[in-house]
Amino acid sequence: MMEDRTEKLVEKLVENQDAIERLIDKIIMLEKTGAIDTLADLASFVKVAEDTLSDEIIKKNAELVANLGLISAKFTSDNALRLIDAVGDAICRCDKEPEPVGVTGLLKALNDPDVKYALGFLINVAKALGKALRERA
Amino acid sequence: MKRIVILGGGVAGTLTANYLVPKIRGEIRDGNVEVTLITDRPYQVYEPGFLYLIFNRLGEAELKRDIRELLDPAVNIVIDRATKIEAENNRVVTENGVYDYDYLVIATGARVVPEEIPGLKEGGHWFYNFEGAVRLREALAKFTGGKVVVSVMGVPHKCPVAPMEVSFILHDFLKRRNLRDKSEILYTYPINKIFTMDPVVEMIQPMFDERGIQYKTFFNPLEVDAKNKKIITLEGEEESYDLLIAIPPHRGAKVVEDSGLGDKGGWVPTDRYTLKVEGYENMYALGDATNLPVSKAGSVAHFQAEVVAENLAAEIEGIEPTAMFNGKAFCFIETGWEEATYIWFDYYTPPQPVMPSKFVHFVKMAYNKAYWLTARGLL
Repeated sequence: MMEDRTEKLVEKLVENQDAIERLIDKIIMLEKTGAIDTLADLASFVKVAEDTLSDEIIKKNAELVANLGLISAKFTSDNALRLIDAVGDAICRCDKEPEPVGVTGLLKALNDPDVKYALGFLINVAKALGKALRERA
Repeated sequence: MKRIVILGGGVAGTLTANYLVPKIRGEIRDGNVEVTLITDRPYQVYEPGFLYLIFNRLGEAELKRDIRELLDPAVNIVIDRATKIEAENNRVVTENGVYDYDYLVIATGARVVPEEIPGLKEGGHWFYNFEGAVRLREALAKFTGGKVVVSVMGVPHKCPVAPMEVSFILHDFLKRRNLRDKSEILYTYPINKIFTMDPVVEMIQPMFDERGIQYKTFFNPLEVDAKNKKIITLEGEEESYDLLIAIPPHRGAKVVEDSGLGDKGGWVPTDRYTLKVEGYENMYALGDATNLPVSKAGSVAHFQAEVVAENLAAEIEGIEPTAMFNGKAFCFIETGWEEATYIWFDYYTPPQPVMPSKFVHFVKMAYNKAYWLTARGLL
């Protein structure tokens, strides 16, 4: 029985001699560089993850990532980036202290070409938003 | 203005649109190009999820997503059923309209046709569409032991490894419910081995043996005797069952058949490298719709979409299209309730499964949820 097993083992070693030699070289390299300890640590880390995670945890987290990813794809398209960049500039440049504005102040502000331009943008967004909301209704 | 029409809102159509639009966004914004995707339903279904739905591990709502969430906002979405592709007139006719095109992408997928096996609809179950999967979930929940036959009743079919996966998961499902001792599992396959690819057979067959999953090859069902619960085969065999999980025959989309564009199985003759429809310079086909000798799997559609999008964008820009599909496929294989392996292969490389592990299973479970990022072209 024991001889049988030994014989099979030797047969296997001979059959896979090239692969085993390459493997031994790699193990020696890993040991000499100390990378084998890192590998062992990594294996322990994966093992802890395997033993503690569950299908439910995996599903929940993957769903969260998927939802964030889908939304972020829209906020990082080139058009959205240009607009978000402009909003960023506006916030950074706007160093004036805010003052209370009434109806008169609002009407006066509407004469400002920059405010008019921004209003045009907001109306465009409102139009597209209305369409998108209706599509989802 | 150049019009690109993509027919189909599954993995192939959605990904083609999402890869294509960013490459030609300037042309679209300037009104030189329009990309329209026509699909017959307002949502996309993650079909690999059916394997989990039948064991109640994923719910119906988790397998559907609004097509608008998945597509680049620059794509015109048309929810309508295409009835005819008039290739000579370069237009697609739908139930409610007509869409002219300069380029057409056929991504119409495959459909199951259980009616092609007499008695199957009455006597069998399947998990290759929503209705079938929901019905099988009920049958499995009520199953109290007996003989389950998992039978592949026609090739090609979607997700080639799914019949092996369902056998493995079923084995563990029955064990968890203390029913395995009272049950038999028999897997049948039409050719002379349990799967088409030898490296996969070498790994899976001993695993079937270890688990007591029986198998029969050269098993080609002709009909199902629903009353007596028997499968009758071309080889003259009769196989009894208590629960039949069939992989029904598949065909190409009806619109392809009705337009005279398919072969006898309804598959679109397609160049294996360029993915152009044979005989048409302005038509591409990809995903399950083609006649290519590659797996009908989402991953194949994914890798093909990269090629079609790149070549279409090149044509729009007036550059010679040079991208070629190399036959790449990637498939996870669940080998139990909580372990899995995977294979990848292409026209030049055979598959080599890795040792099954819990880690690969977790990656698959995560992917079941994160798939939508693939549809969006992000993963």
